[in-house]
Amino acid sequence: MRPVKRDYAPSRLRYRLARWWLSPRVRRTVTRWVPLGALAGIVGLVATDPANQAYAVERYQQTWAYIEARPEFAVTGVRIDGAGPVLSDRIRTALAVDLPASSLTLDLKAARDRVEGLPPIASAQIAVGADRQLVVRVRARTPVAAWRRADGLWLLDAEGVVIGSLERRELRSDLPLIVGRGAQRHVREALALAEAAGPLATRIEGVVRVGERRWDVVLDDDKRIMLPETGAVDALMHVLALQLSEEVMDRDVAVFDMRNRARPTVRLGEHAVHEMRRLRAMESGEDA
Amino acid sequence: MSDSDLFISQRIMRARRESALRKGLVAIVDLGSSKITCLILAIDPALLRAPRADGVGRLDGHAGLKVIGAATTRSRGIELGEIASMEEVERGVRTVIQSAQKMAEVRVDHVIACYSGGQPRSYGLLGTAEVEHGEVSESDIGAALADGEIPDYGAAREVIHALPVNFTLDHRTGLTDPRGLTGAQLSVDMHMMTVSQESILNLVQVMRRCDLELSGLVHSSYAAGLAAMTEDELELGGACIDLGGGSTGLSIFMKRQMIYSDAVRLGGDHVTLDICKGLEISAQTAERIKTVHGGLVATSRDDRDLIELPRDSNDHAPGRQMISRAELIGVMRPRVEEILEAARDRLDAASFEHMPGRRIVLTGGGSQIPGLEEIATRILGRQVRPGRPLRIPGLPQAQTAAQFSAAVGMALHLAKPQDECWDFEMPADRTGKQRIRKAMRWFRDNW
Repeated sequence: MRPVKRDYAPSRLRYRLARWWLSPRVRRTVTRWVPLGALAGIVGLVATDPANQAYAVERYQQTWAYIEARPEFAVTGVRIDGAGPVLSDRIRTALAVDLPASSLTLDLKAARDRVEGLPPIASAQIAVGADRQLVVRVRARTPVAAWRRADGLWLLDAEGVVIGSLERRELRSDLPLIVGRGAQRHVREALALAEAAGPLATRIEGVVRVGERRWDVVLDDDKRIMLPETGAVDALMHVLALQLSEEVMDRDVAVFDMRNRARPTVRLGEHAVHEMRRLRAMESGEDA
Repeated sequence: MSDSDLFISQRIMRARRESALRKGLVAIVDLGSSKITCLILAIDPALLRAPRADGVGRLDGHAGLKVIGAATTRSRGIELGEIASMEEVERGVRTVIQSAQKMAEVRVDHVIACYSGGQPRSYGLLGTAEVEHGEVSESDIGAALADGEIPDYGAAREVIHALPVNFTLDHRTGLTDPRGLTGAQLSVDMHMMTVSQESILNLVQVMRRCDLELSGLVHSSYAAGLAAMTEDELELGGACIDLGGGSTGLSIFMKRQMIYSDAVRLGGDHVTLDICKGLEISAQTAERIKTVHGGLVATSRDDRDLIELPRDSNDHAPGRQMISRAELIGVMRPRVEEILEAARDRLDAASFEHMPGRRIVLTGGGSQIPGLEEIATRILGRQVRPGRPLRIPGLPQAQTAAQFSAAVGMALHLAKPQDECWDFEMPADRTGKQRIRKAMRWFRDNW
């Protein structure tokens, strides 16, 4: 007898497997997490082997060295804009860059800090130019005054920064002379005084900071104009007006004291004192 | 069984189905005597409850459904609509579920099943309640539903459907939703349908063996009616005769509600068996001849139409066996007439002739026999038309034939269930005592 032919039906195991496979969580696990996990495991195994790590580091360094050594990255020269020949030499020394160097290894920020550390440099920009030159653009400080100290003569810029030393006053006779402790912090005020001097400008020898609070203007014949702490320029203008009208500074005056604006005081020179006493004596003699 | 037990069991059934709906994927399994069908539905709950574009009412439920998987296999182990061999039915369910899942590429866990056996019986229930605050509220409806006196339907039977059919408010009848209306006394007509308990238990067991959760059970006569009848027929009243393989289901609808249902344990298989015996051929051959050449009304031409009977491979007799189509019709017709007469008797018993709309829809595989309409009109004495299931989105062409009415009907039932009433709160004085008694019973059973 032939076996009874049954209609097809999936076996229970097959049915359960199919359902299991269709459930989203299983499906996601098998198609996503299991491959990901296997991949992560393999990568982890390979990466934790010290030999592999050493090899990877070595390869990395080799590649990096090769790239650094490429001529495209080489910096062959230095170009300096905005500085004279003397200053350029100092900048070159301060840069301390061994040329040719790879632009990838150059620490431009540190180099800039070094250049800006030079006293005559206000600010600097350093970049690697298209022609493989290290371009240094600097703004040099301009000396505006000479400052006499016990240890010599120094050049100051407008902010009072010491730029360098001056051997003799005659070399920069165009700059006003500033004297006194703390004078470098008030360079602008001193400059304003020197500028305001007008008819006396040629006679001004220098300005002196007195007691770190106020200025004296010293003229070439050792005459002295004492100015107040505030409104120094106005007080000087006052003196200038007197000079124009009365030619007061051409007379025998040792000190013109403007410290109290309300009461300008004049200290006479030695000869004038004698002369005045003589005249007073004459007057009193006549009277007597 | 008391009133509130019905309330609770109906609510549990409803809650189960709703939870399956919320999951968004439901499989529908139609366990027929000749075929097992599975449809996998993807459900969009938002669309299911969405209002219509014109703002009047809701969208028809099936807008939120989509059939994403479908499979059919020959049925095995089901006789007269009931499970006769657990193993074979399980194999059949496995087959359809697996191939439907393969088509849908999803896994389904919730199943709504329908079957045509279980010897369904219909009962009419009447519940009455006083309206408490002038206007009918949900709790009044709940009270009326809970008041219905439940007949003694026997120990080995279970309620499969219990639907409020008609509400009457102070002599005004024919209301479908009395909420908000003013009145003093509310009564509700309920239609309750019971089936044998062991058929349900068998079904639950089959689904459990297939690792599926049975979250709903529908009788196929009800489902077929929902799918095959048009809106007007459902509204005005009509009957649906589902000519299945092993049994013939009957359902009468009125105002969109099923008011009567029954089943005749006769079907297309009996016709096949008659051909098999009358022409002395194998059952498979008989089935094929029935579907290819079958008919019910003979003309003179049919005497000359000769059908060649395929030979059984064991039969070594020479010569070819031929029969005329008239002979085949002569074998088939008495049995079909018998089925229709039995259906007519059941309809008469339900006094269908007194109903206003008397349209009868024939559906199911058997309704495709040529000439059925003619003899059905003569026997049933009514306007008869063959019915095919409603087209729902995504339904494959192969599943649009008349024998898939029950499966499609289940989808419609799922989309537009008519048992929202069981969500209404039952009056507290009934539930409280019941809950305590239930808890006591649980303790007794478990300790």
